[in-house]
Amino acid sequence: MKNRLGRYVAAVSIILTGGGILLFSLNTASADAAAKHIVFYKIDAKLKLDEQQRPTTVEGHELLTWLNDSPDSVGELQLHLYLNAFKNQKSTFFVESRGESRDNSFEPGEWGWIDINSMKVEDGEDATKKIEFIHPDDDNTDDQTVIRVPLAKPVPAGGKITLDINFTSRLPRVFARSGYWGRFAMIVQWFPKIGVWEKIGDRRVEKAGWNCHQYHATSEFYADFGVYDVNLTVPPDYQDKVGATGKLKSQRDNQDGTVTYNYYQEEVHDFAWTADSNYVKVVRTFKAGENVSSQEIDDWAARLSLPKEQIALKDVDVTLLIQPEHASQIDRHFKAAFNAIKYFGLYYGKYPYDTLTVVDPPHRGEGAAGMEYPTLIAAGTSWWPGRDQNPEGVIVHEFGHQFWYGLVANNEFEESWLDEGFNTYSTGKVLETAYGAEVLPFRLAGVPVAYFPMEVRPQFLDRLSTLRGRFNDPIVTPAWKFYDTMSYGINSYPRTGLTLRTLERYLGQDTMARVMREYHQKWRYRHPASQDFFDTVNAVSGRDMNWFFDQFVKGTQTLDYEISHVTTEPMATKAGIYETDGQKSEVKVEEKEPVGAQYETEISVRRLGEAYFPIEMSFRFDDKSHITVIPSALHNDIIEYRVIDSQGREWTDSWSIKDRWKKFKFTTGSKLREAELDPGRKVLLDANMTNNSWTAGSGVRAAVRWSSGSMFWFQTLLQFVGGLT
Amino acid sequence: MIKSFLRGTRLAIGSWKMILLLLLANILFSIPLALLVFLLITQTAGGTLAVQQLYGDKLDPVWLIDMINDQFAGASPATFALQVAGMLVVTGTVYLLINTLLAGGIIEVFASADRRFTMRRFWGGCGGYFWRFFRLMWISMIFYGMAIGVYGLLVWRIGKADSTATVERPTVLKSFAAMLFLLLLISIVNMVFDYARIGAVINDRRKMFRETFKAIRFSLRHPFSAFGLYLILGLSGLTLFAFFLWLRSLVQQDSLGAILLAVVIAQLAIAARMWTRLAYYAGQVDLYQSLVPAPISALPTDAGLSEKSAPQPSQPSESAVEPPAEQGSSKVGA
Repeated sequence: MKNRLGRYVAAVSIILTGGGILLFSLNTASADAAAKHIVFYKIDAKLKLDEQQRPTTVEGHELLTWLNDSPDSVGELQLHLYLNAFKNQKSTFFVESRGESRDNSFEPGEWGWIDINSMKVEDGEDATKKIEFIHPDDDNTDDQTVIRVPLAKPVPAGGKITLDINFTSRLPRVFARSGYWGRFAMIVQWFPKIGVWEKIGDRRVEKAGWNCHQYHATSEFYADFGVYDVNLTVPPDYQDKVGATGKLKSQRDNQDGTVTYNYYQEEVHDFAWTADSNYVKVVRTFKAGENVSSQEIDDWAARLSLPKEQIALKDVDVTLLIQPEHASQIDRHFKAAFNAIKYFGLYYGKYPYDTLTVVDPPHRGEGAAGMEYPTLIAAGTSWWPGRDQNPEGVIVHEFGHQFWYGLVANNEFEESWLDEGFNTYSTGKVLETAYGAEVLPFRLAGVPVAYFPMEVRPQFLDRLSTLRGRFNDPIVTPAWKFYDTMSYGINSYPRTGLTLRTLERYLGQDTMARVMREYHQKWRYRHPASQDFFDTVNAVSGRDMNWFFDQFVKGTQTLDYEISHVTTEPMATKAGIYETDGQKSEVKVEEKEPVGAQYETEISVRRLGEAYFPIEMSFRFDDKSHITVIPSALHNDIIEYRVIDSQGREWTDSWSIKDRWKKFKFTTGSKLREAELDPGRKVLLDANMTNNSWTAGSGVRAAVRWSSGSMFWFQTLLQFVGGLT
Repeated sequence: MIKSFLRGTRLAIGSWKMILLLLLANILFSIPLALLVFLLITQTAGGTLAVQQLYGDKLDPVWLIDMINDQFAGASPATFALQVAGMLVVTGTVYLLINTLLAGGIIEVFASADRRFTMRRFWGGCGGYFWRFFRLMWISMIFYGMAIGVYGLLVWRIGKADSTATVERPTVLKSFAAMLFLLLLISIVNMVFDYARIGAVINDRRKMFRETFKAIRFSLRHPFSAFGLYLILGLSGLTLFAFFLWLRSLVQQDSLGAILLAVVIAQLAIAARMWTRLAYYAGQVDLYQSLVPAPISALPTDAGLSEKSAPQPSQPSESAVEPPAEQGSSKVGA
């Protein structure tokens, strides 16, 4: 064992020093930035079947080298033992989730856990007995998902330490990402994994220390970049039925009939693998030269003001591990994966890895579906997919996490919006570009039998999900501290998606594209914080958008403007006594001016929510003339407007953000026909867009159309009921 | 069976007054919902530009989202579904009672010697048989309940098998098979109680449990002709309904004229469903009369307002012979 450790330490030393020029290159904003490797894992794992031939257990040996890339002397290590989240009902995960996760319920008796059989430090010190469970996030002393290992000798600044660990992982029945089902195993969060030592300034922390959170019901993960060199040994009937993070370097048939695969990957921060004796394995290559046109490269180069070489993508070998009953969907899976590789690459920079593995979990193994790991994603589909964007949606979304989580590796525990929300926004853009609007199916026994008469853009689904919930929390809330699971879900996914869409429409698509590209490239292979994104937006757009982030990311305010009242009448001489040259005269009744004369129009606009937004307004008149009110500046709590009429005349107006309402008055040559706030529908965060407009029409025709349609289906239903007699 | 089908459809075509009556009842019950939708749209979208997005054949998702958030704020999908289901159950129950009432009139007309519709005969039949049909309705609920219970049992078994499955296809196929089985059971119950009602009118019998078992016996003795007729009539009705649906789908409802045209086609589709219902009764009365020899007639008493005709079967088999009515008086004239 010791010799083996020595060889390993030597190998790591070579990589980290001699051959590590690339590995140690500092992050830059260039497209070819490389990760700084903080960790190096060399793992030998053996998948074992239980008496029912289920792949329930992994026996592992791990050599973990950690580089102390800080000026601090570190006297203890902290590691995650994530699988202990499934050990009993007292774990923090179970307490928070009540055994419900990702639309799955835990089945009693199918627990999962991880045992550390031994842990040695490179100098021979046996640390096994020093291991101590800690619970940095709550007072749950029963939670065993984080350990601390006090060191006899602290790791000095710039120094490194290697641990030699033997462990046994017992997989739970899959219901929350990890586990087995039938002959299938999704082996994730399965090995002792070191936390992140954050020095002062990293992610803007003010105190150095370990960032090593417990396994929570709502949060995902956070780790340092490094190298994974993993040998996976599987039973004989799992030959060629394995997928994993990274590139398959070698394959060895063992004397006992088992097969050992070696997977290797640099510049990643996790390692996941899967095995299922039922998998159908298909490999195709995304060829950048074929899948991306030169026109698209030119367009994006121009849009982002970047040289074409920085836009160009690279070839990727895509492995699909799909269930036999979904074999008819192989093309759909590849098309979605290729679209994702293409568009995410064009938007944010090329996907840098050589491989991507797409996993299709079996029926009832959906707890593993819809999850991302470096270079490996778990998708999920149904036996009879419809015309809706499934499985495309989940493939594009999970692939998107290669960029938001994988490459830009924010702390998912503490700032989940930076990965889930950014990815919701990006997924919507890719799906809309590649597939157009979504249709929503009615399903009977899982089979789509009809479609709702409505085409839905992703942002409107986000609106529906977001606006149904109350904003109990700001978007920037640690994942486990949200009011409830729904609040976590709404804030981390659709509300962020909607917020970024609104920002995009406010700044303009090209500016937003540059913002996102810059942010991604600057923080690729690094750990950004929310403020880093705010700073990027302000810098790239050249505008101070803090008012936006304060309200919509850090705040819980509701935004809702409405046109509350409109009057548009011919000018009139009002009744009463008037004096002209000292002479009193009386107008007995109000005298309206004749048709064709001047009209007085007053439009009352109210701000119903607490939040404010510089919204555009458009007022259109019967004679086809119009007046447009465009926000021009926001300073000192005053929104200033340019008001422009159809004759090109321009004047200014303003609205204090403290005022709840404003009345716009115009004298024009004809009556007002339509008034509209936010005519371009830029402000998707507006809680009610329908009240943004006014028209003289009553809407009877539309009401007749849909009420008669509803009546017909109700008549049909009644007729069916009547047929029972 | 074919003869009964042809006679039934022909009779139903000629029964336009009854079709209109049934359609009228159907429209009256549907109008409150239509009014609700009408008010919902005028109140939430009226006077705004949203109405411009609601013409044509697509709903505007922006309005829909705002309407849901505004009108059903805080309501969970489950609460909303419960409210809608509650409304449908109440309306459906009342509608069921109305149809129970009208069924007596329809059968009375078709079972009469001349099969001529008169208001007196129709409403007399409605009133005369209502309580008998009401009792039959409750008895039928037991059988419908049993059918649903069998379906529930199947679904439970399928779900149990699925809980350990790793493939979805068998579960989906079994689920559809179970649904088809439920449809078959409901059709059979529906058919049996049609014959129970027909038997009650033709033989003027009052014991409805006994009539139910007689109808079961009739259906068991003539399974192919009885269910064959039921199936042919059902498929004919469905085809006709589908045709009108297709016709309606061709209309782009983006102008008032087009909307009105769609309304007319929709009402024709519903009228086609009414015609199917009448064809069911007419055809089944014909089949019943052709297979069950008429007992010695007695004059109508309470409900029967006219003589019933009973064409003799051309070659009635012995097994087709039903025993004469034990109670009440048959209203069948030879």
